[in-house]
Amino acid sequence: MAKIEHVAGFITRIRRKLNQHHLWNVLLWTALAAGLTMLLVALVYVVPGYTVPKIAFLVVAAVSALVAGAAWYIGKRSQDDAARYGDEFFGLKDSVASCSNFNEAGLEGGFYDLQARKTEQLVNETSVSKIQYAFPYRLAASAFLLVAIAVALGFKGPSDKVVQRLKSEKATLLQTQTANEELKELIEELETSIDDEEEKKLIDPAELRKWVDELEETKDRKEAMRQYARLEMKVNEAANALKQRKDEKLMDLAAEELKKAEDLKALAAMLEQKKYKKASDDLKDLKPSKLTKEDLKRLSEKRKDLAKLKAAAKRMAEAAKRANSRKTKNTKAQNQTNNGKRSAASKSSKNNAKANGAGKEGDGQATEDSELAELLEDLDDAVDQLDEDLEEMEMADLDLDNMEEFDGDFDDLMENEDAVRGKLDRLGKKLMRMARKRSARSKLRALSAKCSECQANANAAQMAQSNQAGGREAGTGASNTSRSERDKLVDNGQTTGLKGLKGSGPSISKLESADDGTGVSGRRAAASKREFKRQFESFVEREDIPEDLKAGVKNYFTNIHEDDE
Amino acid sequence: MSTASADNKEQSANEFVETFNRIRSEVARFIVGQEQIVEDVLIAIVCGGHALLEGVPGLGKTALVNTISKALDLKFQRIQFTPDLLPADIVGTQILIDKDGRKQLEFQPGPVFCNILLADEINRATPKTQSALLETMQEKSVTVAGKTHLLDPPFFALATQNPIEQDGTFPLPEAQLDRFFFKLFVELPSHDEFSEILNRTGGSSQPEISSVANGDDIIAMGKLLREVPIDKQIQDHLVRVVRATHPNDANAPDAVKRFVRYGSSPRGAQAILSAARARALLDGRFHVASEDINRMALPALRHRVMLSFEGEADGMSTDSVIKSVVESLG
Repeated sequence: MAKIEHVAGFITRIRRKLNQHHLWNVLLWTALAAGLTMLLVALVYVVPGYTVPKIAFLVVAAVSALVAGAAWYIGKRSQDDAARYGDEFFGLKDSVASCSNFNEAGLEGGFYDLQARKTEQLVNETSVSKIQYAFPYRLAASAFLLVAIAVALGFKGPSDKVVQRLKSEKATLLQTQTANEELKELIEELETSIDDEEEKKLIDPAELRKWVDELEETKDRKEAMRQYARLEMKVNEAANALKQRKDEKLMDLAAEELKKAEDLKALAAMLEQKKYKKASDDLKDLKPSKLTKEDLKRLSEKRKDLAKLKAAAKRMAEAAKRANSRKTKNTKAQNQTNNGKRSAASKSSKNNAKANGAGKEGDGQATEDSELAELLEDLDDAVDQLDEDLEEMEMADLDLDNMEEFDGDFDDLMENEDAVRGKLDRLGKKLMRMARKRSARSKLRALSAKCSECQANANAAQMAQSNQAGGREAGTGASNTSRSERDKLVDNGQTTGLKGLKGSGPSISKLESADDGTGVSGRRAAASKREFKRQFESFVEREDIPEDLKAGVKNYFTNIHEDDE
Repeated sequence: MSTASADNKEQSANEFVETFNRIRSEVARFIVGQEQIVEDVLIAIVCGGHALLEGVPGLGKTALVNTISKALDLKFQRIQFTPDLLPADIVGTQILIDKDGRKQLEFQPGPVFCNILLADEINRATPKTQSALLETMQEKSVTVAGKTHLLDPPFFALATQNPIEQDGTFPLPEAQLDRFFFKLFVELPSHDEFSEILNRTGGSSQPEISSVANGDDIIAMGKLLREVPIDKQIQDHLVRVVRATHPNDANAPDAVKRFVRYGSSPRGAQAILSAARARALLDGRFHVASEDINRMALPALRHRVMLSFEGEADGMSTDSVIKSVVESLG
């Protein structure tokens, strides 16, 4: 085999040189690409005002190093590449490559040896040092410049605006964390404070806890306010479901009537002060004791005992009648307008029913108010009947030694007395229930107030101290002199704009309404009201109005209606 | 390293170059310029191939072939192709002769029985007559009346054709074109060459051409160049070049895909390889380089690549197509 040490060495030297050149190229191009990437990354952060995270540069550098390594490995020159490069560079017309390949294939003798000898001569006449690397100064300078700019941008601090925003976000996050904790504690307190199982059912703390658990700890102030507003709305709806305004009104009327009697003033005061539990206890005291045959001997005393109850029942029944008469008037007046409103109201009631989670009792006032009034009238009737029976018995000449013949009358008396006792029990239970509802509603109102407070706190969380001076510049104070130009008001995030969420809060306008029949009727006012109702109904019926806006309007009118009632 | 063997080969190679240059110099005594054409014709001759010379009348095609035949001590015949030329006029025929008082048929050899055949204006003969040359060019033998007659080696057919006067001509069929080793275009001489032609031919005497090589020299040269080695990668390059002349080849450039109907046959690759070997020796190398392949691709492939209708319509030439192939493959 031909000896081609010089050729082999020549190829190896060329290969080494080419690989060095390739390494330089890879490094410089990678540096340029890395510099460009780092600059882009830096701009992505710096333009909105953030500081560039150093880890981003490290990641770019690491990826670039990997890419450079891979590119160098892939682009490494083989012996054959080097031989061909040598042929081309020194104009050897494929001599080196052919010689190398012939030698590798083990071809020898004749022309092969001649070719090897000729190639050795050619190689000896050349010098690999002539292969020089043309260092790409522009490329290197560009890469260096890009990396330098990117690093310089990397040391730039965040803008005041961003600092302020981050501070605000941090404060909001902290605020939401605290608020959520406080709400959870409030729910726990509320749960522990309820002893009565009935009241627990009315409030449903589990549902409230679920709502509170759904609250998120967020950096977004608006989202934080929104979620507290949503919770407040749900709690309000739950509280609204526990309204018993008509029953309470009836009890107020009853208190007014009871006040007229001297010995019933205490009961009247209880009812007037909405202390229904105590009133229920007082009513128990009025309950007639169980009648025995012995009592027949002292019927007059029995009737005296019953007198207080009779007076109370009479007055309460009177109040019920007053309430009924008022309702009848209102019903007649409203019947005409209600016909049109019914369909819309049924829709809204369905929606409200959906929203109600806690406050499962629902209003149910339409049936309950008449039930209470009926109960009061029934009580009055029953007491009257009992009193009449007692009077009849008292007037009758009773032979106390021979009572068998009066057994039938006595049974009737007993029955009437049981009826009175039963009615009183029912009234007592009703009052207890009213007391529980009132208590539950006040607790929900407290929770609602807490939600409102959380909203306010979330809004206030952004009111952190700013590095930037707000308001007008020094020396440009307000002046009454007329100036055409305007001073720029710098918003440093400290300006407070009180904004409520549509339909989420109670109406700030309060309507004072007089009792029916006490004011002067105005046709114009009634016509206006009808017109407003018609507009409201047509608005609710419109399909092109978004549902949330409809719900807002509906809520607004519902809240007005609440005060109106 | 077998030094003796290498030395012998070096000596043979030097003799090859010397003989080649001697012939070239002798031809150059009469033919002015046309160095490339002369070299290509001589390469075709040493490779044992036939050459088709194309050029307008008066450029010295016939003179070139005449001069080469004189420079080589070989039997030369010339056939002027005309439409009424018959195959028998070329290959020969049997004639009735009186031998020893008996009449018998005897083969009378035609002009093809020579070493160098000049087929002047070959496209003027009918296809039947043209095809009579097919067996002669490929098999270097003639079959008449069921009897094959071998031609004396070496045998070369050098044909000329005029590209302008196409009336009454019969273009050579692809099969016959493929038999030609090279197709060479004879170009118009330059200003100085023109003057020199006038100087040499306008006087009372003309240069005398003497023979500087014989048939054995040519055969020996042909044998030697077959030994010139070629690297596998260079051979791959050659195959890629030839295959890329086919429009359905993956490496074919756009020009081939658009304008070529059919590419070169393997015979084209054989011609390039032989010519490239001769070219390497003439260049003082003992291996074939890709440069030799690229240089020889044009004369060896230009008559083997068929342009499509679109190529013809666009006025494309096979030369530009082959150049695009060579450029695309480096």
